Amino acid sequence: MTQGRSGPGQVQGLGEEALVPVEPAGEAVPSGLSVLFRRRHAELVRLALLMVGDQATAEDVVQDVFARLHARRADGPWGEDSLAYVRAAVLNGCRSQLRRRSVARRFEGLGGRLERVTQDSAEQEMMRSEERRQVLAALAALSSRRREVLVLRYYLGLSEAEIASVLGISPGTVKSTAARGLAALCRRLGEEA
Amino acid sequence: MTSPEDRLRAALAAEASTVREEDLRPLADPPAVPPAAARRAARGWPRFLAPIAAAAAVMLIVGVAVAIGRSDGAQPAGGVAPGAAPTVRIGGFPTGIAYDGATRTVYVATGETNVLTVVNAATCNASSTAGCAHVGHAVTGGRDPIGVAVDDRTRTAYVVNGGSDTVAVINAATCNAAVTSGCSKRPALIRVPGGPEFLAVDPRTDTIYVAATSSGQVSVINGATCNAAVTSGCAKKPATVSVGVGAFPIAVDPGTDTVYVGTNRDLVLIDGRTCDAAVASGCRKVPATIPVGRYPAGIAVDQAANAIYVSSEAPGTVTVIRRSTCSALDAAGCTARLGTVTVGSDPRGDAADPAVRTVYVANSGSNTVSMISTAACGAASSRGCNHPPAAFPVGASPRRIAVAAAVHTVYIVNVAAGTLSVINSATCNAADSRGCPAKSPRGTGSSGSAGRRALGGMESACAPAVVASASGQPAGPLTLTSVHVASGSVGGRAWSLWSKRGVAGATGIEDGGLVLGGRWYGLCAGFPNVAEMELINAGTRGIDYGFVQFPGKVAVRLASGGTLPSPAVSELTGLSFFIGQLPRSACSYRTMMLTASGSSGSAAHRLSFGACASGKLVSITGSEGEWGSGSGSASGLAGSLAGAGAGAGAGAGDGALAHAEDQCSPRATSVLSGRPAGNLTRSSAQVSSGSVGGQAWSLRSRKGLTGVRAIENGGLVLGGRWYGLCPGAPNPAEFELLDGGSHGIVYGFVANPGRYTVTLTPGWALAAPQIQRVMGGTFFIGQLAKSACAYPSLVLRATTRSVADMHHLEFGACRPGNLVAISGGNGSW
Repeated sequence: MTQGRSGPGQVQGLGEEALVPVEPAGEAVPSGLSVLFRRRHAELVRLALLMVGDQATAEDVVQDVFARLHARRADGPWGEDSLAYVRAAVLNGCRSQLRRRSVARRFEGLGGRLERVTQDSAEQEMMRSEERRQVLAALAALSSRRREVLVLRYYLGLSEAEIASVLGISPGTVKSTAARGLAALCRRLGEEA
Repeated sequence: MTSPEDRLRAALAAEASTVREEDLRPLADPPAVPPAAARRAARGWPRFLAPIAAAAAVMLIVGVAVAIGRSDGAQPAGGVAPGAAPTVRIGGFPTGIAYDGATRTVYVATGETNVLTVVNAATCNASSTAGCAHVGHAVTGGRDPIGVAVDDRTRTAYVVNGGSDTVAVINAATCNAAVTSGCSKRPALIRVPGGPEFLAVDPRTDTIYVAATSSGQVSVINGATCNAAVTSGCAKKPATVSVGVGAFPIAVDPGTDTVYVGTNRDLVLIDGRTCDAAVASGCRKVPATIPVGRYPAGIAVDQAANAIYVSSEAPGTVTVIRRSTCSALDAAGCTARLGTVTVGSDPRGDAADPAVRTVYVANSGSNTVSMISTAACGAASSRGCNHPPAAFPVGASPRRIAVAAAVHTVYIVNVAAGTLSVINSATCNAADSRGCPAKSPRGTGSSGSAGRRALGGMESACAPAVVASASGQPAGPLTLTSVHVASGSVGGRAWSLWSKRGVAGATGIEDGGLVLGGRWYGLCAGFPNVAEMELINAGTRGIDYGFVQFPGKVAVRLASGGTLPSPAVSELTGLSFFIGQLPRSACSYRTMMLTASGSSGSAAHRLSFGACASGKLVSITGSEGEWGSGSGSASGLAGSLAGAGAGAGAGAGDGALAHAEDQCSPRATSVLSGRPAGNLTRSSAQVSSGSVGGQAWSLRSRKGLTGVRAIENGGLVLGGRWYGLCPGAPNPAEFELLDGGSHGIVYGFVANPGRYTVTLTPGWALAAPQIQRVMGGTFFIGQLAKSACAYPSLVLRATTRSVADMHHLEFGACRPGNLVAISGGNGSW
């Protein structure tokens, strides 16, 4: 309950801790990638949570991205300047998770298990305030791209240029996507009221 | 007025703040592994992590075991245990199955290995298992093959690649049980977006209907221009029909030109006369929807019985509809029901065998197959629909079924076990079950010895044989879905115990496991095994671990062949975990007796051991156990076991009750219900009594406790037998349904003060409940108008002038004298 509550704009600037030394490959020495991930772990999980809707999946996504990047270049020059890249990878992971989930909910071999997970979260659902539930439900109904832009904008407080670099789209597209996303969100919230 | 931006900011911040840094699972570095293994891991990780992150760790690891262990091809499952059905090893997440009578070939889509497995039905069937060890593989040209169907006229097998959104067009004439020349050829692919899973072929019109779960559309493919011989039309975009999200099971009735598709809620009917390969005019029409049980998962059309059998996951039922009045020709009778049959938990695929007048239903949650008599529950007669059908055990998580009438064989795909069960339909059907397997197959099923998994196997896929075969795999995936609950070191190696995230108690440990030296070792300790252990072949000295489901301090001792010097015992919530190093190699122990005693119970469990492979769990070949409540001595129990070789006797009931007292859960309550009330009456006091349906009942409250806990730890005694109840947070208004013969009995407790009025809907269900105000709440009990098995769901409304609580429960399997299993529910209070 510490970092998240401060809401937008909480991403720390690039301080001294951003200067992560490049570690040699090895088992014992933490790689630049693990330093980056461990420092940003909670933030990345929060970002994923806002995309996928439950913490366990969010943690899985972050762990998955970590494992993938680790397999690719664990000892690479991973500094805070790689954060945009890592965030993009997490958002990608969330997107494929969401795409898979709609399949996976009924996916043979998994249906029952996943459903149980959904039931568990029903209890949490009740604890959320009605207002939050409404806003998040409206957000969840948006397309992945719109939701990503809105979360980066209103949760992480990133600028249009930063969002553009994370999502690999033009700042103009960020602007229009954010505007449309917000309009769609208002419509949905209006419907509920 | 708050702006939408501010509302969004506030909601996002509040939601994000629920993630607390200190609660996060630590990030796991992918384990350092040798190059060959690393390549394997690199292939394996993405699949484990992305698509099935939420699946049980045990299942994941079974997948690894199969993928790695079976790369050399199929093996028979270690011989056939007496009483078990023969099985074919398929490996990696087999799902869809189709039988091609022309070549006597069984095709199984195998998701993990991305192949179509080819089984020879001429040499692997009910009468001969000679060919069961040899299976072939065909390339599907995509990931996660799921559904498979054969068009007999064009000699084509169509396979849905669920992970690639394509359908592979495989030549069934050159890739079958006898000929394999075409199996390695890369097939033509048809693009079908939206998460396709299953498909059905109308051979009369050469149309392939593919159901896509996430888009909720059925693609209509022209098989005449896209088949084994002709591929000119494969690139053409198929026509689509919107049926609704969750489009999943699909079946064609060529006789009436009707396509039936199950969505999340309904059965949907498409008129094939105006929507097929040739005509698409009717594809835009909104198809007719027919309400069935939630999450239909299997559709079997039986022309001979003139009925359609739709299995539904959530209620665990099969809805039976008259075919002649529910088709494209005449849909007037679609809302009428011939009956609703209660089968096992989470039923999936079903298949009709008209030759033996049986519909086979795969109960994936119970690891059984139910057999519905189409003679007693079909268009001719529906009198038999109310009786729970006979069932037999198969491997872990059975899903899909194919009938090969020519060889009198029913093939059942067991997803978690990675096997195919081979059943003789001539001797194992609704009318004659003499030839049905009495046990699950070795290496796949739920029962090692008769007593052992009798109850546990019904509830969970955790099986000692599965755990043993999967043991010793890298723990990687497990640590992602589990939380760390204890750790230490044994024999110079670090161990840690993991519990599945969000799952409490022993079940959490079952779905998690022990990690020793970076490798996974599981443990099954479901009911009724209060004390359970496993033995690892860890070199010159074996390692023994297990857990005892008593709360508080526990002393653990091994005897009869082995001793465990000073095991480390970790106290967890409601159970104790122990681990220690044995003086000798694990292979040198044939039997071992575990005795455990604590302040609230004692237990003795004797295990016999079989094969020991290096770095793996020693296989368990038999077990017997006894457990009792109270602080009795375990040695007395051990003595009775050692002496007469007695199985779990009356003691089992008491012990199980003792366990239920500590962890009230509807599942436990249902499994343990109907046992002699025995010890309970000594440890509890009567707070209310009466009679229902001619039987005396007494509500008992645990001595020394108050309120809800006293009721949970007490229970209802009816006819001398115990029936529990778990009210309390978050469900203050709770009830149970008891299969009491021709009339079900419902009882429950509203754990709030006030004068509650209680009603059950359907409105006629509970005529005049007896209502008693006790222990700060309201207890009610009453007799239902019909048998408990007749209610797929019930809704309890408990109201005062100012409060309205609602609790909706869905029911699964019913057993006489027991509580009906609760398969789902929701409520508001």
